Amino acid sequence: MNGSASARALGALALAAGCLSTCTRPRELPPCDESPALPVAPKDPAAAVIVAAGDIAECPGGRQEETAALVEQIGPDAVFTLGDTTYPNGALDEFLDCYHPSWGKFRSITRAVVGNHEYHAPRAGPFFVYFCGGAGAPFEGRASFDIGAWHVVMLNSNCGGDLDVPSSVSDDFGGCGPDSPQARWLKEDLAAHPSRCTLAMWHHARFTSGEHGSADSMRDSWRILQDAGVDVVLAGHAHLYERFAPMNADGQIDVVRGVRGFVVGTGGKVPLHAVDEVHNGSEVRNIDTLGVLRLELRSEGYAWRFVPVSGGSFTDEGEAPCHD
Amino acid sequence: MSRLTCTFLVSLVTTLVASVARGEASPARLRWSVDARLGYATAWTTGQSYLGPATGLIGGLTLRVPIHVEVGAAYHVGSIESAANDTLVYWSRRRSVFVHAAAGYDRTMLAGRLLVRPRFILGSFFIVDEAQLGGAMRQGIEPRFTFGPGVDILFHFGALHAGIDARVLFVPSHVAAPIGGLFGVFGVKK
Repeated sequence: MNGSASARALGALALAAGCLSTCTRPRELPPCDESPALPVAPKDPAAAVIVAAGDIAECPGGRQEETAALVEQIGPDAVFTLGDTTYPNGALDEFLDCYHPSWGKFRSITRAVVGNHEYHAPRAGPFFVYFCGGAGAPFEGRASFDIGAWHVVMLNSNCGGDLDVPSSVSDDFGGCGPDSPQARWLKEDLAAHPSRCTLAMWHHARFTSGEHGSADSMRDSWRILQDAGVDVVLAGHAHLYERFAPMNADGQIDVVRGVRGFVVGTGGKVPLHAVDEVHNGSEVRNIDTLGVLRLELRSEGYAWRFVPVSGGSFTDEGEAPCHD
Repeated sequence: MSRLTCTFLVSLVTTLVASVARGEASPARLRWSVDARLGYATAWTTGQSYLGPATGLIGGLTLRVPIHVEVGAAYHVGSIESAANDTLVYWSRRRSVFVHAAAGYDRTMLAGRLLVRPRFILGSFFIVDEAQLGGAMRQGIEPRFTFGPGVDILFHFGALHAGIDARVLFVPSHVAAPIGGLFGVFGVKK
């Protein structure tokens, strides 16, 4: 074999090897036409029922089928997923082969916030494409919509601090600082939607007793919510259930203007997390029961109930009015 | 470049300068080499690969001791993923550049024709992510520090040599997925 033939053979080999790696067949996505625009029309506008949970699916090993059965049993008007939708990498295959067979049956009524594990995939792309717009504009991870009498805002909390999230991710949506595009958008959105009752949701819990700790990066967002009189914040990330008293941005109980936080990282991922030290304001915690949070969003208040998977005995329920 | 990689490179240069000062690395006792690499690497993860087929270049110096030191860079083709339905088209690409420094011990056999070089590698992957969905596109670069052992097995034919380079690298973060790589080596030494 002369030099020229060797070079050609080597080139062909390199091309074939490259093609094996990169020339993959596109995967077929479930159709998006069943997914409506962001607003949700509840069956009873005076008492919209939503189900919320984060940290959901993992194959093998996750218990997402059990929590999906709870959602089916409750029959909510909307499902709010609180990030870390699939483990470990938020990959396209994980969404299509693991999440979709369980929680996927509620996709058309799901409104999803992006977690840190979604960013193990390039720019969390599989998450944004799978939810077809139910997660807001692609790569931004923020959106708002109305459900019954309530206004709901979804934020992206991937603002640094997670070792597994590339540092450039906050550039995708502008970060979480007080003058960030997300903060400006949040102020404008809340001013434009002066509902009596408002709920916010994102992935990294601002306050939690869980081992991941509280997300200080969401302090500015919490302050904006508090100033606007927002009532409830839902989050995940910590794999436990926890309910807080109404809190201000600095972590003090404020029953007049504070925002009540729920951490619902019990959507199916196991194991659940231990509690390091009980955080100020934490009213209820549970670290051994998977389940979902059922929220009834009424015209002037809300009622909550933690619904455990079959065999679980822990529950937590109550109700509260919205801020005047 | 990560702080650890930088520290390692500074130590390497310091070692070389000290060797020259002691006369160990005088031109008569110093051998340099340039190697091309062509191979494949993979990581034990279900995530989209930033590795795959790779090509690279390594420059090395072997002291009298005989300690071999080298620096190199490699480009990994990575992978493309895509998905579509009637209304959406999604596309993402992930690839990487790996820069490294390494130190190894040269053990020759078969009258100098076979060289076995166990070595320790420090380096950093620079992972390039791109994703496109509808009309929106995002991209970014993520550095990821790695370290681990490797071994070169080289056959010498005069000034030329050829062989294999096998390596295992670890990523010290909680998404650590060990990396395995196998490369063909083609080079020249003086």
